[in-house]
Amino acid sequence: MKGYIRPDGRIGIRNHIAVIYTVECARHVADSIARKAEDAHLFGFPGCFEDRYGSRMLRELATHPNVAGAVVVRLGCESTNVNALVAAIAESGRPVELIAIQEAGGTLASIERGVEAVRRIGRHIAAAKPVAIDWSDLTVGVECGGSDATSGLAANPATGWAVDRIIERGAAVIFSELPELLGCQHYLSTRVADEATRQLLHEGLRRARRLGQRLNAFAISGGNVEGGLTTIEEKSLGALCKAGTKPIRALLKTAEKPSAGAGLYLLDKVGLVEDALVTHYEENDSDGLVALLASGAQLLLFTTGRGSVVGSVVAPVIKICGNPLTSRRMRDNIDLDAGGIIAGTRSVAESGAELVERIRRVADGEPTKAETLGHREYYIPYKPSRACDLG
Amino acid sequence: MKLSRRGTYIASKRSIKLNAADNVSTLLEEATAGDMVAIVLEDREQASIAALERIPFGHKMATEPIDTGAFVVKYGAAIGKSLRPIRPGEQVHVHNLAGLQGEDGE
Repeated sequence: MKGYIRPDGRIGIRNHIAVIYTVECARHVADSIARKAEDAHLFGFPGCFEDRYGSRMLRELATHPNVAGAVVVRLGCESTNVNALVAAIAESGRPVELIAIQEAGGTLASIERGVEAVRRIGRHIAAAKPVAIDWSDLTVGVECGGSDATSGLAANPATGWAVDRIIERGAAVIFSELPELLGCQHYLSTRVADEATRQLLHEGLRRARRLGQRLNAFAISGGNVEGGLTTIEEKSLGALCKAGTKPIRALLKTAEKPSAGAGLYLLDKVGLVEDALVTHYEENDSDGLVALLASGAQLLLFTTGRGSVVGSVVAPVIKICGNPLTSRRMRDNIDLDAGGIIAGTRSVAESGAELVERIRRVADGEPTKAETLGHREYYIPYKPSRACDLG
Repeated sequence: MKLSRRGTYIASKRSIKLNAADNVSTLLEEATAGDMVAIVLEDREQASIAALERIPFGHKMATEPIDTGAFVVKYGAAIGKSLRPIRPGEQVHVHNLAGLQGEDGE
C-alpha cells in the first residue's frame, strides 16, 4: 500500500486539498473554488458564532492525514475564530491560504484568488512522493446506516470478520454509536481490555441510557420486531458485531485519536445529558462519519441493508451491503455485496476476506463507488458544547 | 429440494447460526410447518431440524430445547430469557422470549 507523509508526521492515503468556508455566507464562493479542481474537497461550518465543536471539526478535517493543504474562505465579519483555524493548519506544516471575501472584493475576485491558491497548493502536492505504508499506518472507522433484517446476519458479521483480521495485521479500528449498544452492556463489559476502560464504558452507557430517556430513542421499534428482532440485547449485538471480536483497548472522546496502536477503540460522542441543551449524539450518518474522521480514520467502512449512497469528504467510504436485493438494485453504490451470506453462496469468512482485500486496494488508491460518483458529504452542525465532550 | 427416504420431496430451508454457543438460528428464507431447516454455522451445515410452525425470513428458530427462564443465546451472548419451555423447531420471538433490561436496576 502507498501513502503520503505529512509534515506533522501523520500518514494519508489520499492527497486532497481542503476548501473550507467559515460561515454559510462564504459557502457559494468556496464551493465555486472547489468545483474547479478535482482534488479539492469542500466543507465548512455554517454558523456565524464561535462554537467549540464546529471549530474543532474544521480544524480536525483541515489537518486530516488525507489532506495535503487548505484554502480557507471567510466572509470577513463572522464571529468564528478564523485566525485560530488558519494558524492551526499552518502549525501542522500544511500549506494554507486565506481568502476574505469582503477584502478581496466580492464573489468573482474571491473565486479567482481561491482558484489560484488551490493551483499553488496543487503544485506543492505534486512534488510529494508516495511512500510504502503498512496496515499499522491505518486507522479505519466503522459505521452502519439504513440497517435491515440482513444487517446483523451478513454485512455486520462480514465486516466484523474483516475488522478482526486488519487489527491482527496492525490497524487501529474505531467504532461508535454507544447508544446503539445499550442492550449488550454485560457482554461489552467482557470485551474491555482493563478496569479503567470498564469504568469509562459504564459511565458512557449511563449517559447514553439517560439520553435515550430524554429523547425517547434507541428502543426496539415495531419495524425491528416485524423483521424478527425480539429484544434490545439482540438488536445491539447485531450492531456490535460489525466491530469484530477483539478487546476494546480504550474509549475515545470526540476528536480524540487512538494512541495505543493496533486494536479496537470505542468513540463515545454522548455529551453531558444533564444539561438543558440535550442534542442527539449523531444527527445523521454523515455526522457520524465526520466524527470518525476527526478521530483520525483515513478510511471508512459503512454497512447497510436497505441501502445508502453517502460517501465522505476527505476519506474513501467502502459500502458493504448484506441484502442481495439492495445490492442488485443499488449496484452503483455498493462496493461489497455480502448478500451471498443470505443467498447461501458465500460464508461470512469468504465475504470478510473479500472485504480485507478491498480495504487494502482502496487504501492503496483504488477509488470507492462513492468517490467515483463524487459523493463528498459532510455534516457539521452546532452542538452545544456542554452536550458534546471534546477529547 | 431433497428427496426423502420414501421418495417424496421435502422442502429444505436454510438458517444461519452466528456462534457455536447459540441455541437459536436465524432463518435465511421463510419456512412453513414441516419444512426441514438446515442449520449453517460458518460454512458447515450442522444439522437439519423440522420447523414446527411458520417462521418468516430473519426470525429465529430454537435449535435445542430451552427451559423456562433459561438464556436464549445468539451471537454467543444472552439476548434474553425464555418465558416458557421452547422445543427445537419452534419460533423464538416476543411470545416466548423477554429481554434482560431492567434486571440489574439500570
